[in-house]
Amino acid sequence: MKNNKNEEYSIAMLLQRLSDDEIEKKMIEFFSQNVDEEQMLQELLRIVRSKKE
Amino acid sequence: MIEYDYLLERDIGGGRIQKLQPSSIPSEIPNLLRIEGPNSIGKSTLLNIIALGFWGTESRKIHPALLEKMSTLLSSDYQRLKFRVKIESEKESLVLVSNKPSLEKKEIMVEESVDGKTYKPITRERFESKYNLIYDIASNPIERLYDLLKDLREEERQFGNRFKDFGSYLRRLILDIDSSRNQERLNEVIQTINRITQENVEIKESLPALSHFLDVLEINAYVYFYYYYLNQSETLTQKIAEYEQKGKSLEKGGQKIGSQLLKCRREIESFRKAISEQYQEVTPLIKVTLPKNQKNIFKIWRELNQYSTDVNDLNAMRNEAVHLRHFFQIESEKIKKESSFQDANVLKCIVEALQDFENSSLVIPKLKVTLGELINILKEENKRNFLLMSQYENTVRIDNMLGDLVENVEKLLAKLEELKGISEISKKVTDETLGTYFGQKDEIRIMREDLKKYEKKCKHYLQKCISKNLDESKLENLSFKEFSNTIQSSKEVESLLKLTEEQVMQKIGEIENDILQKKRKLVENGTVLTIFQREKSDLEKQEPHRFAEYREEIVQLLQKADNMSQRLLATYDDNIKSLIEKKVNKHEVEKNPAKKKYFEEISRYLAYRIGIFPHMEKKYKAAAVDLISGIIVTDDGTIIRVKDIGTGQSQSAYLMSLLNVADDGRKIIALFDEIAMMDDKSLEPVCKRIIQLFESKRLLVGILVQKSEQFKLKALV
Repeated sequence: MKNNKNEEYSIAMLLQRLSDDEIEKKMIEFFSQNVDEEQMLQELLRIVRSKKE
Repeated sequence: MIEYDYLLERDIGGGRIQKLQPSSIPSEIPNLLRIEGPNSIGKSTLLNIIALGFWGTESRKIHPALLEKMSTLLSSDYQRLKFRVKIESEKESLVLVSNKPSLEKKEIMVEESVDGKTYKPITRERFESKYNLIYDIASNPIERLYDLLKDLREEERQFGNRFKDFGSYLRRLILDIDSSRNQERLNEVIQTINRITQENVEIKESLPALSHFLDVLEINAYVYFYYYYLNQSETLTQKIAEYEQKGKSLEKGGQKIGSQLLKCRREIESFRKAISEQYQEVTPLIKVTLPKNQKNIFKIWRELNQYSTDVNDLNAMRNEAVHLRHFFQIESEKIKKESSFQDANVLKCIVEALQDFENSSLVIPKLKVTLGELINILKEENKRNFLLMSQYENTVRIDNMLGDLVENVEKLLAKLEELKGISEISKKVTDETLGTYFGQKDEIRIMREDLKKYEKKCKHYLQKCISKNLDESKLENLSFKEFSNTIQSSKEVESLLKLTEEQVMQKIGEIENDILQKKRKLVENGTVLTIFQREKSDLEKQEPHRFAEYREEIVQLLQKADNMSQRLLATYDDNIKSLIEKKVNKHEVEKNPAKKKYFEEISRYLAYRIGIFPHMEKKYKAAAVDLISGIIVTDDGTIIRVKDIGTGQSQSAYLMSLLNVADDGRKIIALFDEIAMMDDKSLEPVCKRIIQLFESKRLLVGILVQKSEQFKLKALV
C-alpha cells in the first residue's frame, strides 16, 4: 500500500472505495462537501437520467 | 492573533475566593504557538477556554479527561468562570469570537465575521460544518491510535446519518409527489373513467334489447310449454279414460267368461252325474240280460270309468254303449220275431187293454167266465211269458238306457269341448287380456303420475304467463296457434323453442343472469366511477410536483440511500466496533472479502492519518496501519511493530494522525496538551504539518502545550 505524497485520504474517500456504485460514491462526495439536499438530489437525478439515456 | 481574557473564581475554603486571570501567558498570542512552562501558569486553562468557547464540551472526539476538565470549569460548585476569546485569522479576514460574559450564567455566545467587520452569531451545527476543533492530549499515544478509530467510527456514523436523513428527505419527497398532482395518475384515472363510462354506455345500450329479447323469449316459451303441457294433460286424460274403459271391458269380459265356465262346469258335472247314475242303473241290467257267451263284453263295460270326464274314457264308454245297444237291438229284434213273444205280446196287450175291467163280473158268453176272471186267466198266462217278456223289456230298456247314456255322453263330450273352448278363452283372458288389463292399470297409474306432473307444469307455465301479463281467459279459450298469433316472436326465439324445455329454461336463466350481472356491473361501475371522479377532482385541484416525473428515479435513490445508511450504521459500525474492542478474528476476516476490504481500507486510512513518523533515528512514511496484527507497514515495505515505537515517537505519530485529515473545507483549530514526552526531533513533523496546514489556510489555530521547568513561548512561524 503505497501512499502518494500529495494524496489525501478522507473518510469520504474511504467510503467511496468501499462502494462499487457510482451513485453511492456521488452521494458520499456530496455529503462530504455539505451539499444542500435539493441540489444534491437534482445532481443525482441528472446523473441517473443521463445513465439511463 | 488570539486575544483572550478570563476570570476564574475558585473557592479555596474559609470563605476565601481565589481569582485567576491571565498573567504569565500574554492575553494576546499568535495563532501558531508552542507554550512551555511549569504547572499552574494557565497553559491548560487557556486551551480549555478556547475549546469550551467553541462547543468543545459537546464534542465526542475529545479525550474524556479533557472533557472533564472543561466541564469542571463550567459547572462546578467551587469555581465560576467568565471569558472572552477572539481568534483572528492571520491569512484572511476571518474572526471568531466566543464570549461568556457572566460568572453565573452558562450562556456562551459565539460570533463569526467573514469580513472582519460585521459579526453574526454562529450555531454549533454551522460551526462544526466550517471548523474542525481538535483538542487532544498526547498521553498513552499507542492506545490513542484506537481513538482514531473512534473518530472514524463517529464520522462513519455521521455519514450514515446523512444517508439516513437523505433517505428521510427522499421519502418525504415521494410522499409529497404522491399527494401532489400526479399527471401520470391523473391520466390513468381519466382513462379509467372513460373506459368505465364507455362500458356503462354499452351496458345501458345492450340492456333494453336484451331485456326485450328475454321478455319475448319468456312469453313464447311459457306459452309454448303451457300449451304443450295442457295438450299433454288432455291427451293423457283421454288416454287414461280409454284405458280405464278398456279395463272395465276387460273386467266384464272376465266376469262373463267366468260365469260361462262355471255354468259349463256345472252342466258337465250334471251330465257326469247322470251318466254315472245311468251306468250304475244299466250295468246290473246288462249283467243280467247279457247272455253268458257275451260276458267279455260286460267285462269291458264294467271296467269303464263312470266318473271320468276324460274324453277318451267318455268315447270308450260311448263306443261300448253303442256296441251294447246294437247287440241288444239285435236281441230285441230276435225276440220280437219269436211266435211265443208275439203271443205273449198279444196277451200282454189284451191284459193291459182289459186292465181297467179287472174287477168286472161280466160273463163272457160261451166261455162262462166273467171278464175279471178272464183277465186273471190271461194274467196267469201272461206270467208264463214273463221271462221272455222281461228279457225283451230288458233289452228294450237297456237299449233305451244306453241310448240315453250315449246321448248324455255325447252331450258331456260336447260340453267338455265347450269347456275347452271357454277355458281357452279364459286362459287367453288371463294370460293376455287380463295381462293387458293389469298392464294398463300400471300404465294408468304411471299416466296419472305423469298427468299430475303435466298439470303442475301446466299450472306453473300458466302462472308464468300471467306474470307476463298474458290474458288468462284467452289462454284457456284459444288454441296454441290462435294465441301464438297474438304474441310477438322472432326467428331467434323460434329457433330456441326447438330446443328442449330444460335447454330453453337454461337459456332464459343465462339471459336473466347476464342482465343481472350487467345491472350489478352498472352499480359497481357507478361506485367505482364516483371514487375515480373524486380522485380526478382531487388530482386536478393539486399542483403538479416539480419532481413528479422523477418519482421512479427518486425511489431508486432512496433504495441506495437506505442501503448505504444500513451499511454504515450497522455493517461498518459493527466492523469498526470490533476493531476498537480488539475483537476482530483474523481468520474470519480472511474468509469474508467484504470485511477484508473494509479493514484494508481502514488500515490505509490510518496510515494516511499517521503519515511520516520518526522511529529509531529515521523517518518513515506509513503505508498501512494494521491494528489487527499490531504492525505498521511503511512505504518501503518495512514492518514496524506498534509496540516497538518509542513513546515520544508514537506521540508524534498520533498527533500527526490528528492533523492528517483530508481537506474537507473546514478550518482546523488544533490544541495539543501534554506533549512532554516528545523531543524536538519527534515534534518536528508535527510542527511542520501545522505550519503546512496554516500556510494552506486550512488551520486557524495551532497551540502545543508542554510542561517544562522554564516558561517559554515559541511562535511556530
